[in-house]
Formats: sequence, structure tokens, C-alpha cells
Amino acid sequence: MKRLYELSKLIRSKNAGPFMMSLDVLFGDRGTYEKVLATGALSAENIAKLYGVPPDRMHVHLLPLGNAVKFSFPRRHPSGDFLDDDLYGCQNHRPLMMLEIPVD
Amino acid sequence: MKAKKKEVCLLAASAMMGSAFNEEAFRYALEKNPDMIGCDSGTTDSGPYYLGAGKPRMNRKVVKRDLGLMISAGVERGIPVLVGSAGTAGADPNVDWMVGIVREIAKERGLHFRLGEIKTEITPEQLRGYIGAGRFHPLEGAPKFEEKDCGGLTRCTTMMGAEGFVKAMENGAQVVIAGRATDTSIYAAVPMMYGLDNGFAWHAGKVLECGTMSTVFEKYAGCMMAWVRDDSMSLEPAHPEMAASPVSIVSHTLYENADPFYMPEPGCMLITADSVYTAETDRRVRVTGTRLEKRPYSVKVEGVRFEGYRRAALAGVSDPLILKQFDAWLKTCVKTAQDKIRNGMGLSPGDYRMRYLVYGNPKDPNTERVGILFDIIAKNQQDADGIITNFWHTALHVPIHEWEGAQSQTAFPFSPPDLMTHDGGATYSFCLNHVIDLKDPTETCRFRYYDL
Repeated sequence: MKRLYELSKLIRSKNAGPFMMSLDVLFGDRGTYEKVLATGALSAENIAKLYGVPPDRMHVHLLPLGNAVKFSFPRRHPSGDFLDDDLYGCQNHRPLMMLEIPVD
Repeated sequence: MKAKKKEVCLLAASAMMGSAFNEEAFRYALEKNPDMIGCDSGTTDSGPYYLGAGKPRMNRKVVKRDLGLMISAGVERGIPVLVGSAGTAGADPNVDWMVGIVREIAKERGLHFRLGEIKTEITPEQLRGYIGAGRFHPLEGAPKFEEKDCGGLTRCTTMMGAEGFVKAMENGAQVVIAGRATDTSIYAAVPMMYGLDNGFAWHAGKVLECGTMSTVFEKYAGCMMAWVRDDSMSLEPAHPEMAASPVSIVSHTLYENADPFYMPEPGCMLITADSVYTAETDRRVRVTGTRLEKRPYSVKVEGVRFEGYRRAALAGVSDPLILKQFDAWLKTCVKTAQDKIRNGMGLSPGDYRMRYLVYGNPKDPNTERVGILFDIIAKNQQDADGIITNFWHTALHVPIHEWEGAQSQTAFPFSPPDLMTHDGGATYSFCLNHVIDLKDPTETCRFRYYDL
């Protein structure tokens, strides 16, 4: 079992406009990218649960050319709204970092 | 439309106007004889304030320095200098601010050129017209917004496409300061004018709009270049000590968007799903396979409404006896303060908005200090001052039973302990994430020209 950050080159979160959040996972090589995807841990359902959004609002994009996976979903509060606590949406990657991946 | 060119060379001075791009890189870039110099100047990333207040986020001195270098080079070489989303929000006052800086530069440097100004702000009445005509549609995650909500808008702007820049250039503008524009359109405009309105022009824009963030290692910030052709494009950072790689460019297509393969732009869809990235040299990348599909012409609208006046206070708590009962203690602070505000100011919690954010973990015995940010919004500034003072001053003296006698338990890092954000704490929220359908791509643009 490993945490996702131990297997990645970069994990980041950022606004995709004021109403959407995006999460990127960049793996260093194709082998790791494929190994992690094969576990199913990065499924839309799993990540939707992790971030508390309905599964149909969690979009997953695979970018094999960059050995990368992108998730995007509506923000709980729009950027800069009174209840928002992260204007740039750039500190939302922690749950994804800490996600346990069943690999050696 | 000018005679078609086989290849157009684009230079992005930096990812953001006013970030002091590397001048050495800029000199290297000019040696490549670019056909235009562009720079994005806006973003919604820093939130709704800049559109609400019509003020820029960046520093005037740095903007003047960046613009000065770009304009001098552009005028000397007779190539267009295009700036999109002037002054952070691209609304009318933001454009006025930047046009003022351009005039000052022209005067001080003795430069003569035609300046094109494009304003993209629309009135709530104009927006009402689009809504009424059924030409207004929500994007994903959009808040509910109806015709009756137009009256509550503080300010609203459309996000123009490349046609606005083309029109200004065709009218002789050498320097264009545009209101809100898509980042990509700044770079797609010159290829469009030279008959290269294709996926590569827009894809190049997508990479260039972030300056050198798409390089392998961003040693110096600023000056990314692209060469756009009919069947391909090439990308390379101007500074010879920096490199782009297929992975660095591909990875960048992920950045800050919701879908890395289908990117909607005004009047078209940029499709990178079949793009192929190859290393042309050890620092230059060639891209093929990118497509562009024409779509009915629509532009995004951005709008904000006024929420009230904000005040905040930051309080530090270190006493372990409080930290072990932190949640209960903080609840007592809030309740006590709300009671005081009700009794003293006649304001119930429904008359203002309050939240607190806790920084640090009070449950961890290694934590030496926990931060509490009290954050309030009130209807007027006098109330805002009174409410926030009640919160921090109440927190200062709420006693715990473990101690006897008077207690003062919050550390404030400055005086007065409360802060207001800019403009007396004026606070706004984004209330639009919609598009409007246009019949003419520039129907929401207002053009003006100045011969300096």
C-alpha cells in the first residue's frame, strides 16, 4: 500500500474558472501511470466520494501522453465567495495525495 | 485579412502583465523576429473583487515597465502589441487604467503609434436583453441567474474572442489594450489575420498564455514563443538556458482547465485529443494533429454583485488548557459576542454574516499556537467595525474554569487587531458563469482609437 503522492511527480489543485475545481496527478513514467490506473483507485466514483461530490459531477480525463490524470468538479463555494476558504483552489489536493493505492 | 503567411511567429512576453518578465529572454525573443508581442493581463483567479471595484491587482510601476519594453519593441519593429483582459478584470475602469499607462509611456519615450482600445463591459440592461431573447445559457456549476437578478449586478463584462483584436489591427492599431478577452484569443488573432485561423493558432495560445510555465524548469519567468503553420506548430522558450519538452507541453494542457482535450473558445472548439507532441530539438517541441471545429458564436459573461463590507481579525491561542477544550471555548466566544452585538448594537446574527476559520490543530499536543480568523460582512462600515471589534474583544476575555480570575487569552499581531480589505472592505461575489449567443463576434465590444 502506498500513498498517491509517493507514486507521483506532481499532484496539484487549482481553479478552472471561479466555479470549477481541477485536480491534476502527473506520474513520472508510463509504467507507474498504468499501474496506478489498473488498481481502479482513481475511478470517478472513488474520487467523487473522497471530495464529497455526486459521481456524475466528477469528470476524469486521462492524458497518457503526459502520464497524467485530471479530475474536475464543481466547487462547493465559488472562488472568493464568503464561505470559500481557498481563493485559488490550490490547497485542495491533500485528500488526493493521501489516497491509499494498493500497489507495492 | 492580410495576405496569407506560411508561418507566424508569436511572442508571449509573460503569463501576466506586471510580473516583470526577464529582459534578457525578451532580447533573445526579439532576435527571432516575432510577428506580434502579446501579454495577458487578467484573471478571475484572484476572485470577484477586481471586477466589482474595477481595480487592478498588479502594481502600476511594474506594469509600466513591462508595457514600456513591449511597446518600444513593437513600435520599433512595426509589429502589433496585444494586451488582453486589461487591469485584471477587463472592465471599463480597468481598461482606462491601462490606457492611461500606455499614454504615459508614449509621451515619456517619444513614441508615436495608433492605440486601439476595446471595451467589453456590458450594462445590466444589455444582459437583460440577451436573457429575454433566449440568448443566455448556463455553463457547468453556474449559479441560478434570471432576468430579475440583473438589477443586483455591480458590474458585468463579456469575454471577447480574437475578432476584436483583428478588427482593431485592421483599423491600424499597433498597440491594442482590450477589455476582458480569452487568454488564447490574444495569440490566435495575428494568425487569424494572416489566414491561419486553425487549431494550432489556438493551441499555441493555450500554451503561450501561461508564458514559460510550460517549460521543463522555469529558470526565468517570461518570453515563450510559438511558430504557427497550416499543419503544425513549434514551441520554444526564448531564453537559451531553458527548454520545452513534449511532456512539459502536454502536461501544461492540463493546467487550470476543466477538460484538457476539448477547450471551448468563442466561435470554436479547440480539440487536442489527437495532438502529437515531438521533440524537434532538445528545447523545442513540434505539435501536430490539433483540430479546430467552428461553433455557433458565443462568449462568456462574468459578473459580480456587492455583498457588503468585510472586516477580519486574526487571534492566536497558546494556552494548552484552552486548546484541549478549543471547540467549546470558541463556541462560547462566538455566542457571547453575538449576544453583545444584539444587546449593544441591536443587530441579530441575521443582520450580518460571520464565519471563523481555525488554522492549526488544537488537538495536537505539539501545537504551540492556533490561529482563529474571525471574518464578518456587514451592511455598512460602521456596523462592520462594531461587529468585528465585538468578536475579537470578546474572544480576548472569555474565561475557562481551570483558571480563577481575569483572563486574557488571545494574541493579536497588530493594532488595531482588526483589518479591512481594500475600499473599506467592499466585498463582491461572482454571480455569473454563463455564455451569451452573438450574431456579430464584436457586438458587445466598443472600439476607440488614439493617435499618440
